[in-house]
Amino acid sequence: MKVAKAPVLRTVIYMMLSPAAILKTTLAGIPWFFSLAVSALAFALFFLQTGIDLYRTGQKQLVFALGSAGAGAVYGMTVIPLLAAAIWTILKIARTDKPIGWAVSSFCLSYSGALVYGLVGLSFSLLWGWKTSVAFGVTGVLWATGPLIVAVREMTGGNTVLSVFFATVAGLAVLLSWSVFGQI
Amino acid sequence: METNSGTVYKGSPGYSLAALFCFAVFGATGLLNPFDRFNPVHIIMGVAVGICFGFLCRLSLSVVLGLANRSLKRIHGRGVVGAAVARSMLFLLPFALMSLLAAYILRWSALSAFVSAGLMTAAVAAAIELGRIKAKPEIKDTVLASVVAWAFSATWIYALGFLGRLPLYVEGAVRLLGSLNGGLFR
Repeated sequence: MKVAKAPVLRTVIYMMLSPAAILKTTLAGIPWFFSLAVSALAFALFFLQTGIDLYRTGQKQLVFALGSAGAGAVYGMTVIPLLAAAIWTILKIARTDKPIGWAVSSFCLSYSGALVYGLVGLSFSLLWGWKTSVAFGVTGVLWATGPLIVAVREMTGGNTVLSVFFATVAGLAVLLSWSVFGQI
Repeated sequence: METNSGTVYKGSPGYSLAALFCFAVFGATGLLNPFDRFNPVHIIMGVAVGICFGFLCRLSLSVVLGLANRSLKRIHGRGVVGAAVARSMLFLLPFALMSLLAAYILRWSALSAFVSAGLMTAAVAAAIELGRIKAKPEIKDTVLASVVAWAFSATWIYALGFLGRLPLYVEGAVRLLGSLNGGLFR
């Protein structure tokens, strides 16, 4: 397999628009800390927007809003890799040939779309005072579903039904855990 | 045009059933009454609107991608594009289930993001499915599919503004008929 090094911005944009190309060729050349950083930053921005929205509606203090970014970063660095590891463990029984590092990296990079939406959403939130956690944050997280399906499909040797199932489980888990955070 | 083989591709009833379910869910959650989430009029009307919307969406995707892949249809049969579009509709399932969770457990009311993201993912998946049949995937399929998905997402968001009122009119008409009916027998 041809392995090439991908520039940072191109990796994020390609992972958002055409994940299959990145997963098949350049993923092995992407350092693990870069993938983790994408996921951490994506969720930091998503949770920060949630905190700001809650602060604006008077439900939380400013400290909570700022702390949300840290909680999001921890979430992106721990929950997403754990989710990837759990799904990889199940697929290992079904004899996937992909290593666990590949699974974690592909899952974390799947949130590239959430990172782009997060950056745009935060700009709208800070500059125009919009409530952006659902419009931009959730939409960004939903964008990860496509790349997640492609990632699991690569791990299962092209099984679409299994990949849709696991992407659904991952999407539901993220949506539920985020809503729990919003109610803390 | 180079293709992988001369295999004839056909759709499966399972994929069509999944697509039907997903669009029915999008319709039901789109026309949801936030004050009475299990209102049968809203659910039935939503399911009907969603299925009609889904039919138009699938048809448009098949027609547009079919026009762009005439030579592929000559090699693999007329159903090749329709089958690829049908398979791609399976990609809507996570979005439909997540919108159900958001509507009935998280109790959200703004759910058009699920439809937009789902349509875009399914449309791009249709282009990828066609690319798997061809020896070399073509960017034009992805662009055309994305444009169709974007157009339908925009139509859905715009149409929800007045479609959302449809169940209220039906409910009003049913109540009016009921009161008239009661008056006649009084």
